Amino acid sequence: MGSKDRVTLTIDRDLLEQAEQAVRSGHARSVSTFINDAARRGAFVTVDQVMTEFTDRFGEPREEHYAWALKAWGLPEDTPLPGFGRPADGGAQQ
Amino acid sequence: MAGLSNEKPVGSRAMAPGAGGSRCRAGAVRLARVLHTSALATYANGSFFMGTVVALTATQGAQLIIPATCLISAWAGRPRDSGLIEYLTRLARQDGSSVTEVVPLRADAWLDVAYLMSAASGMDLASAHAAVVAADRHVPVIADATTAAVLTVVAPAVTVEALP
Repeated sequence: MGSKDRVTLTIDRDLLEQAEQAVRSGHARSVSTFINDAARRGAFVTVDQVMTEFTDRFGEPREEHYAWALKAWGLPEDTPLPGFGRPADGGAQQ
Repeated sequence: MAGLSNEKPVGSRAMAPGAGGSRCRAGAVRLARVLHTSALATYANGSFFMGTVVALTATQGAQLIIPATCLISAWAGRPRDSGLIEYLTRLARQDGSSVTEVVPLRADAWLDVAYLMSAASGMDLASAHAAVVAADRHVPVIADATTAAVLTVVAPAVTVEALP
């Protein structure tokens, strides 16, 4: 989810030991992965990020899907739609 | 314990506005939907209908209300991408405003939930909880057609948007 930057962090010794233990036991690929995962669990995820994740995995919705969702939300048909995953053609079949 | 009598109209207590405590928030959030277990699972299995429901939360003021019991049931059911469900619990807009509220099963709502479960044979805890939350917040539930059919009978005061 996004690009990476290399930074220098100061973290508590016990957390570092947990991270290293997780790597040794095979529960994390690296200390960085462990810290990333832990931080992500406590971080907000934007709608854009979630929809990117969704469309990468499953494909892009079609107009018919948006039409139903607008109805389910009780929103008017001319509601501006989000920019992601709304092709007029080519959406996957579901 | 007259409230436990089977002669009492089933579901009437549970569906009274504000039932289960003084937590009625009608008017606080205009645009909200309660997500039933089936809606969450369908989303994590790649439903484009549910995907677009989530996409439209980019609309200012839209809120997803997720009963904790539904969250647990959906995740435990091992959908194709349970990470998507987990993301939903931390969903925010670009301006940082929160999209999702996970609603715990409160102790003071137990009887409301129990009434609903007793009203429909086989109704699970999460479905009853979702209905009680929806009635309490005065917002519709999004659920699959099977659940919608049951809720329409046992909780007629709750509006259900049935997934195609």
